[in-house]
Amino acid sequence: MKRIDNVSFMRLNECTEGTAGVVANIGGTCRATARLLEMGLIPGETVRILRGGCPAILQVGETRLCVRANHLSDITVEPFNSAFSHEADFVEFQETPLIATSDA
Amino acid sequence: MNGTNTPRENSANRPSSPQSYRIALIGNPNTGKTTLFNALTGLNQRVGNYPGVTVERKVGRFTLSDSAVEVIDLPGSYSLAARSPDEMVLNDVLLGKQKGEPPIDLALVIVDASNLRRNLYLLSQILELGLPTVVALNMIDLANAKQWRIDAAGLSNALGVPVVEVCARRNQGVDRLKEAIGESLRTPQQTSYPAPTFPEAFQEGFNQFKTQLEKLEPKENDRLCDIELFHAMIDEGGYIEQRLARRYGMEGGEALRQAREVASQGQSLAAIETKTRYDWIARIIDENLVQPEKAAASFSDRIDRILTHRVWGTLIFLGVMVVIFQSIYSWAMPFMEGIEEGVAFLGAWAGSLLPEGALRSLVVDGAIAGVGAVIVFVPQIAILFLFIAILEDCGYMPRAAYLMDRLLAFCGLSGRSFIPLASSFACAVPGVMATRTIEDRSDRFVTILVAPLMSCSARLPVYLIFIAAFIPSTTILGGWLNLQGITLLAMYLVGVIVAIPVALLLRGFVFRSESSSFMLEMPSYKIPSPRSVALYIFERVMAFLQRAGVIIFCAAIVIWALSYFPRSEAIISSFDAARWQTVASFSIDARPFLAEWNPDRYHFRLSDEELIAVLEEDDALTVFVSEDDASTNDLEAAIAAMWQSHLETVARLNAEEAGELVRNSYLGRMGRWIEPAVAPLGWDWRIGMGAIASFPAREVIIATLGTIFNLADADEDSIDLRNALQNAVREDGRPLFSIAVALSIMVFFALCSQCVSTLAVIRRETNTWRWPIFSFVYMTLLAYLGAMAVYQLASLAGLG
Repeated sequence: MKRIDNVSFMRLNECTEGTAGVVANIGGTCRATARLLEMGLIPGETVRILRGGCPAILQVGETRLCVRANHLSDITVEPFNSAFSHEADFVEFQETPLIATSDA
Repeated sequence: MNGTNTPRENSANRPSSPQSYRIALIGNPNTGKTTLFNALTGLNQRVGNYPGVTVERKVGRFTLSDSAVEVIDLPGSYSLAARSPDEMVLNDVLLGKQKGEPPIDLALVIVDASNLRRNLYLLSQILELGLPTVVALNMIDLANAKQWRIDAAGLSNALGVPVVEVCARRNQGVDRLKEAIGESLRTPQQTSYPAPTFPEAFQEGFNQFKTQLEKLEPKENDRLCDIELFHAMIDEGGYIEQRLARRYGMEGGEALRQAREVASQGQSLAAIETKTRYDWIARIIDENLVQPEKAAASFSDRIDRILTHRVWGTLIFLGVMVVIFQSIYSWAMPFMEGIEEGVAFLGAWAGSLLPEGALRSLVVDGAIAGVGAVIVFVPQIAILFLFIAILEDCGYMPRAAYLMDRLLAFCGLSGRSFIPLASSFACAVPGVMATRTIEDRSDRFVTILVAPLMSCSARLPVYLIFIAAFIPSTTILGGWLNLQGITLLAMYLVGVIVAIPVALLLRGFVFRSESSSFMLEMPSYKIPSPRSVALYIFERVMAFLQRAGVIIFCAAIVIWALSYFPRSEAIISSFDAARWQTVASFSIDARPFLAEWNPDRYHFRLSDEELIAVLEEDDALTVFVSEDDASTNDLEAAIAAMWQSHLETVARLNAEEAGELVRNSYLGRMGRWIEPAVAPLGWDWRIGMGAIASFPAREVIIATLGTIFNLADADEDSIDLRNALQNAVREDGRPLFSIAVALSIMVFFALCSQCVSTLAVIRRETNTWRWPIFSFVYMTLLAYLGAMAVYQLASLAGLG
């Protein structure tokens, strides 16, 4: 699995539709974050954005979740180029530039 | 926990009756829990509420060779962390702390085989309770379809509990599951398995916390058990933390703070718990599940590509809604007409058995008409819930919620509120009942409180009669739009537009919670199980009939009594005299003609009353009263005309008598008493009284206006009622109704809460009288102010 060299961490709410990545960190202690953790969205797990915007649809393992964008800002992921991902079959991947965020 | 299993503290005082057992069914949402519950118990189920909370309590029964097993269907949950009343009940039932619920003997955990990883999370928490546990590995067919190979025996070894593969939807493996349950119940043993191991610092913090609390004296002598202490420590702001604060006060809170500091080591406790459990799950899955290297795009993936698409998905969604609401109107109509006819027939039959008087009126107009008003809603409720059950069972509902979320977020609600609100356009009763699918309590209550603002089908007759009578049928915009149609649309929009600020205000002041929390799982699509769908409809219809039925029935009787009593003898006898007078004068006029026409039948020995009775039975007369053809000779035509005019006079007298009696009834007096209050709305006492009488159901206003304006049988298509309304005058001789008054009445009925069924259902769904009362007060206030504003503005515009 090839990572894009200059990329690092992004907040999940800033990722575009079709992005997949490994969860790096989950901040925040609100109800929604705790629920996301229980649903299996834990560091090291792969997450994919099936539908962007608000609400978004995420694929976490076998679970598909509909979540409002405001719950996603606490989650940082390390995106990988989904052209190489074996899970790229849901949304045709668009060649969107993966921009490094300010807090990277 | 601390690495080992904690035995249940109250297992000692569990009543040990060998013949009957209690088991709890637990699992994540969307795992087929209800389907399994139905497969286990069939029709032997009862639905109720846990005392004091709006959590549904569902209990069923099945028999094992020699013993009865009671199954408690607990709310679906992803975790034992208690962040909602549902999850608190789940915890309390499992720990034997729920009031009125004896401790359970076994936990039956349902696990979705096609999503093993996430489902094992809840199981790992349940295993720590140390209860005898049986795992039902459901949806094994979906796992097989994904070419997963699950080693059930290996899983059973790793978890230390029996694991049974089932497919509840096809009723497969249910008997084996029952056997396994029976086995575990007869020979209960402590589960032993390698439990998840929490980090050392975490355990250190928890042990300190335990020792500290053992020194404290809890209030109500309710010492929290280890499991509760564990969740109190981890779930910040959860219900168990609140319980801890109530039981142990400040000192407990201080101990908790210290424990958290030691246990967390700067990390979030929730993150530590989830990581520990998921590490444990990963080990189990590695050993017992073989997945294919490359997962193929599943059936659900392909459907979702279309159904969650912004354009296609939305179009399909709108299509589905059109079909549902069309069906609620059109499919239900024959059944509703059938019920109405049946009720009318029953009323006539009962009326023929009873002597005329208060008892007959009570049975026919009060009881039978009241019950009829309730059961006439059953077809619409059944059809709506047929669709909801199918959409819910096949997994479409969360997709609909996804599509509608953006729109509803604007009003402070979420996508989950869509179906209840849309259903309320047909009828608020099933709409309010459909809010059960909303997890978030605040969202659910706001939805329940605004749902009755949507214009239901019962308002339609009111709109129709007043629009037909007072809104001119002129076309505007070059014949494209009809003013009557626009007024009807405007009435439907009034409710929607008013609902937006109401929802925002409720959200802002009454139900302030973590705003816009909306997260829901999108399960795989499945073929719905007919058995589950049928049971779902049955359950909802019975719930409506039982609870709402009683209240509607009582209200209908009260309104009947208010409009029936006091029965003024003076009025009745004066009308009796008038009727007698009519008969006598008819007899004098008609006898010579009748004697000439049919001397055998109409001889002079007949008394006046006998003459009328014979005339009523005369088929020849009926025939040519109705067929006014040319062959009729002059004599017959003259008799027919006299008879016809006599019948009309009697009918007019009866109607006038009914009107006079209503005017003199308690309800009529109330109408006159509130006249000053409704004057700013442009109403007189008769409309005010109609509004009071229509408290049980809005459509009653039409029958009431019919009675007051002396019409025997009024319905919205009746030209007579329309004419009577147009011709009605005030005491000073001005016309009673104008466009302004008609608009004021329509706006009042669009916004008011005149529906006992809805209030009864709100009472049932919120489990308190507070919200139906609140709903009634705020809607009536809105309706009054809205009607007044419309009347005053319309009068200023010259429509008065």
